[in-house]
Amino acid sequence: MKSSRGFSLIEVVISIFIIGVMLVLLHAVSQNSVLVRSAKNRGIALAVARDKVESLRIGGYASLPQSGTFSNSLMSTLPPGATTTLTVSAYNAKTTQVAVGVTWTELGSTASSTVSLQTLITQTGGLP
Amino acid sequence: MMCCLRRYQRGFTLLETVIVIVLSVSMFITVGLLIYNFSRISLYQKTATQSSGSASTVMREMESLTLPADAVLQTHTFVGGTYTSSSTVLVLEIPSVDSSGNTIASTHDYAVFYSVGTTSSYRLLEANALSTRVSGTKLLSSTMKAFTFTFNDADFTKVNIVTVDVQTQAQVKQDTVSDHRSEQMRLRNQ
Repeated sequence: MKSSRGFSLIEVVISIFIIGVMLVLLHAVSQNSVLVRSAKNRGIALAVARDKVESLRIGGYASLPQSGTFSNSLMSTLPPGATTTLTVSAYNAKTTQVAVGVTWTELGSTASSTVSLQTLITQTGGLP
Repeated sequence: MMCCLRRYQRGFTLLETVIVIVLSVSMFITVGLLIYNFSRISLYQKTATQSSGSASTVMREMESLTLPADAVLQTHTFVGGTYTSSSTVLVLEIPSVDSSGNTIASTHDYAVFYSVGTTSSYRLLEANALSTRVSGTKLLSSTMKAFTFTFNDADFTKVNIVTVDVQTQAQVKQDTVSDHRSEQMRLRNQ
């Protein structure tokens, strides 16, 4: 009779443990889906950046654009608000340094993610 | 006291039985829903990972053979058959490389990227005996929706830029997982 008046410590501990394990599992699953989504976005951003670097290399030293942004049809598959940056700076007299960046913010996250690639493009000896 | 204790321990009251049944049923439903949702989410994630992973794999494989290539061939006869370049087939001629990474004069490896049916894409590589590349057919993706090539010249002998467009698509119950990649590649040895 005495023991049925309330919960014993061991019962409370066990139920808290079980609820805790379930919450941890639930959190792990939701965390995993964030990872999957960000991995996909990273892949898209890398494709966008590589494509731009390749087109700049093809264009060659003489036709390098000014710093700014660039467009790519794949940008619409990144979360809304994703931006591109293109930085063109002199490395030395006959070499230009080009940095291409893609920045986006995952849905439900406040921190932004960036993929950036850099290359040097020289006045002579580029792609034929 | 003795009589009451004995009567209390004789069995469960109807109310107790009802509460226990209701509690256990709702617990089973909760646990069942949890397990169902876990497996549904993990299946979705597995498919999404495979879909975006295979799109990236195709791109890396394309780069590893297209960048060192010296020409896009109009047509080439492999052991398994003849392939002709088009918007869905890409036949490449690649200078062979030896174990120290140097090209071997006037020997070539041949590679073709093609699709079978509507969803499977393959890479077939036929390497020269002296080359360190490994011959064989490789399944690139079995969830392909579109695998197309665009060339910068209608004449294959003048082509030096290939634009590759990859779209993968997989179905998870009612949900569709799709991925789209596109990159241009300049043949470095043309």
